[in-house]
Amino acid sequence: MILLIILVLAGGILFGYFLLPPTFVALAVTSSHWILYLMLFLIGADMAFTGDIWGRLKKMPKLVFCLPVFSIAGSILGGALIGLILNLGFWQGAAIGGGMGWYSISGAILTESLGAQYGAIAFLTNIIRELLTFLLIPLLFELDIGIAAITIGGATTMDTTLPIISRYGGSNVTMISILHGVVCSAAVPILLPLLASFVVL
Amino acid sequence: MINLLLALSLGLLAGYLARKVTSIRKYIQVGISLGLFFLIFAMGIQVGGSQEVMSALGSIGLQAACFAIFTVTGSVLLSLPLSLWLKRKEARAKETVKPS
Repeated sequence: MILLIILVLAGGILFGYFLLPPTFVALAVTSSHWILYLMLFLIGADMAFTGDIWGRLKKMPKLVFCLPVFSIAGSILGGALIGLILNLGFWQGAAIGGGMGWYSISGAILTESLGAQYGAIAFLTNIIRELLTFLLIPLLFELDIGIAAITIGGATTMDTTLPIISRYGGSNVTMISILHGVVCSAAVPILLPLLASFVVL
Repeated sequence: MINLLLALSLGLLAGYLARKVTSIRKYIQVGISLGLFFLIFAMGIQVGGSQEVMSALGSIGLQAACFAIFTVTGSVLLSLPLSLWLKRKEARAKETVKPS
């Protein structure tokens, strides 16, 4: 399965790079939006089939709701650490890590606050994070480490990476994944300017 | 974001209304798997077809890859204790149910 995902992903990248004229690339973008809507519709329907969503949500330990906090903190710490290692700065790295895989907004915010270089790194980092998520989710669920597997998707676990998480994790994980994505998405626009503002200190 | 949540809610509603027709559930799951591959392919096309991304890959690709790996590892490591604790709790809950 993971091999198939790698092949499809690599095929898409090569196809887009060598073969397709820009109009087709734009078409792929718009059609993937609609496919994503359709898939979220299907995921919702699949969840409804498993029944009693509200009851199961209420039965979950309240600590599940803390998952996004650990996820965000870990990402920021990881970013800060590699920022130091690569000599790009602690807070700069923290801000890139705070992007949580949401490349468009983290690229835009950091370009404005820290300059084009950091904006570009944040943009690319978070694109790679999304690609990594597609590759690692099957692997991490096979390793059976529980819901920590969700966190690699960051803010995307409520949209683009939800289908793959749902496919491998099942309906309980789908609910936690949506929650995780919503909280991360809400946090990014607040956290990034904040982290970037520490840079001058 | 609103659109996505709307699509999900509509799906929940449709699934709830059709919950008696359990035979369509396997088609839904096939649809999710097929759509998944389409999405991954389209994601690849977007990355490969974007000159902005492909030219940036050459200059800052390695740095960005390091950032991606470190941030992902950080997220998983920090949430691992909570995740394993929840798993154990779930396993215990199942064990206590079994004998009855």
